[in-house]
Amino acid sequence: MSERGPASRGRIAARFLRHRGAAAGLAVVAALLLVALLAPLLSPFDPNAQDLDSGLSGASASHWLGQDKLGRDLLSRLLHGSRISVSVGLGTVAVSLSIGLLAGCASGFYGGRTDHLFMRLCDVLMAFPGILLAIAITAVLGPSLRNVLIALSLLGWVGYARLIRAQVMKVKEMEFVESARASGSPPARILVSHVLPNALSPIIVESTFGIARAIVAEAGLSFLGLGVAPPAPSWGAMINEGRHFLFVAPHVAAVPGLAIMATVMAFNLIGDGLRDAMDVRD
Amino acid sequence: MRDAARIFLAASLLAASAVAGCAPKLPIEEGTLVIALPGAPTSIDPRLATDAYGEQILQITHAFLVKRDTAGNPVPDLAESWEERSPTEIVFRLRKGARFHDGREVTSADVRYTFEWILDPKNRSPHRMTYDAISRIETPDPRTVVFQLKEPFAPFLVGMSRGIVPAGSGARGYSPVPGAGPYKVDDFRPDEAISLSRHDGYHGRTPAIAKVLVKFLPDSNVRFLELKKGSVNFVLNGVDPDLLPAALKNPNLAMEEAPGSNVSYLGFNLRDPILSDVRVRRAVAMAIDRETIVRTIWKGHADPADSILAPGFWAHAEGLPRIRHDPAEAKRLLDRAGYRDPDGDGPKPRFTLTFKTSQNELRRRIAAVLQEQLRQAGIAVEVQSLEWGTFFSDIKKGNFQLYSLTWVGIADPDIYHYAFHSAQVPPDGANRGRYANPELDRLVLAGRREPSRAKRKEIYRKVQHLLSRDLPVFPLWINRNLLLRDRRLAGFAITPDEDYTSVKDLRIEGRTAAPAGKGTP
Repeated sequence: MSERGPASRGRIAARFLRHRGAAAGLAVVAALLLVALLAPLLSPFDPNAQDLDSGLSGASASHWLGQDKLGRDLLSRLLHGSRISVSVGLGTVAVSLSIGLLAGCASGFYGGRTDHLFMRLCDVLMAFPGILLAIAITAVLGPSLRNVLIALSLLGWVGYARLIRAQVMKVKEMEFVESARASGSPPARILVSHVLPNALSPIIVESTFGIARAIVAEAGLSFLGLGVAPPAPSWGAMINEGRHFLFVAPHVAAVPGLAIMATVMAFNLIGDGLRDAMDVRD
Repeated sequence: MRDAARIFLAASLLAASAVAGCAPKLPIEEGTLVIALPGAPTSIDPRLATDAYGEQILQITHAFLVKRDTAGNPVPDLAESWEERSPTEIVFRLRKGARFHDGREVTSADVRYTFEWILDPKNRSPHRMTYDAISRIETPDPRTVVFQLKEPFAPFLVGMSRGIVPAGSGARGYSPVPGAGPYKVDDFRPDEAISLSRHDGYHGRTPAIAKVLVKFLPDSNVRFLELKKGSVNFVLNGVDPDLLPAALKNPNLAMEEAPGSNVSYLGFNLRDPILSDVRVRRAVAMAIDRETIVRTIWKGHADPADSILAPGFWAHAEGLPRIRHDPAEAKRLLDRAGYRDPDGDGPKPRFTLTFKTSQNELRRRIAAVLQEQLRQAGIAVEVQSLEWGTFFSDIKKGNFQLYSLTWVGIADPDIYHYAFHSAQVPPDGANRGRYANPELDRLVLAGRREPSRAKRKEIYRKVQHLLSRDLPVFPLWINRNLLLRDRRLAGFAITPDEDYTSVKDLRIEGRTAAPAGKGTP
């Protein structure tokens, strides 16, 4: 591995876009972000407005994707639900990555007791089954978007910290780092300008998969009634609401189910594309 | 090549017909009845069981001193007769020849043992307080039991519907304790199923069905599918009203509907500064459109309630004022109580209340509807759906503003003492909203000491009027009992309180339409 400049970035972008799956994934994610941003403008109805007498109605001219048990418009709920998924996906990765970056850099770059301390903490946290701990935390703290973020980030950072530590340890032994050190650059500068930029590729790839994992985890918690509080239209909660009517109104569960599938697949495809384009090996 | 294809086709057809020919028979075709319960019991020991599923199994496996008829009146079971020698002395005469599943005859010593075991504090029976009025149990001969009470206690007889166990039976965790009911336990797999077979020494009419399997199926989709498939034949109140039309498309299934007694209610915390004002509670009640909920969520299989006692119950008061859905009047009441809407019909609420509920999907659905209906009166509601243990512990601690629960199996109006007497705050009682009214305290104490049913009815009429004025809880609706059963099953009498005693009366009648997909050769 060598230091990469702008030219190499252009090559990565070109390789990424040639990856058909990744390009499709990017398109879906771009659309998702746009929908999440513009949900209030795009939604034909208030996502929480009820019309009890038309509960479980199928698709119609006014309700394109049909209505749930309480007569709420599924399309509007789906669009608003994208905001929750995107917030949790990006939010969890942002928080986990920040903590992971600090812990991983400190461990990998300075080593010694700092490394020992962080890695033992990671070992302890990794001993917990992730989703069970998240369930326990949200059960104690109560259901809300913030608590879901806390629950998912509390263990989420561990993976990043270990990955970053390994990357930093590898890169810091390379010749260009040695020469930077020999030329008298202070350690913090070496870390920020020389080590990190060359350690980022696998971290970017991992983060993309991390977004997909967080979205699935949020849907799982909401499905169990531990995610965001009702009546917020979380996709997971919508599946749970529709689950009871699978045999009479399958669309109620299928619509959010397909949305989760498409979103997670898009992020995973992007991750695959990035991995190939950046030539990251597992 | 074509020959090979033909041979393959022929072989496949042969294999398919062989499989179809050997298809296992459904249990009901071999004389076994399969019942599905929507949950698993935590105990099937009559001295310890508290949940509805445990009680329902005990109604099949155990015999009681007295049972209750559909109107809630005591009728003989192990006791062939009883007599009140005085308001504090009740004498039961046991029937001759009643036997436990292990063959032993049921005697007065067994009855005494059962109740003394419950009353012994070291056994920690959850039913101890129910029998707190008992001071002494005497057994002058093997067929006579005399209960001496500390004071007159009107609900005493109703409390005698408790399964009797053989003297000397210790609590054995999950392993079943013998009873004297129509069916004995062959195998109990906690959280899965219980297999029962006919008790040949049963003192009543011998059950027609030799084997009964009770499956615990918490998932409504699974219950629905198993019913349709025929691997479950009997589900009482376990199929979502929205799925009933789809279930009844199956020619082998039939539905019976009967009045129920389980009352869902909205609980208020009367210590809360906002909800302590009766005008606010009334406004909340008036903002709720129960007719629409009954019509749409329950598909008409429920009725709006006016009391926590069901209309068919003997103590239910007639002529209680009915709270109508009237959002305009609700807003006026809130204005008068000093909670004006800061921005008219705009998004700002008059105030925000927290509504706690369990994670049950149906409960959450109802919470979402109440939230929306109260929003239209300017009351913001934050719904907290909590894990059951947390939810129930919060309710008991008084850590709530609004909650909703269902009273199940009310057998005596003495429930008003348990749920509304000012001294019955949890953990001792169920006055979770901390209601305190000296007039009500006096009435419910009088009610439990009064032996005459006519006089009690009058006392509880006053109680119900008082409560519909003060509104410490708002009775929402009473669900009707819905039985989905195999068309061949007959003889079950549905009681308002979902009693399973009548399982012993079930019989399998003649044949019916062949299941879909199985033609005659």
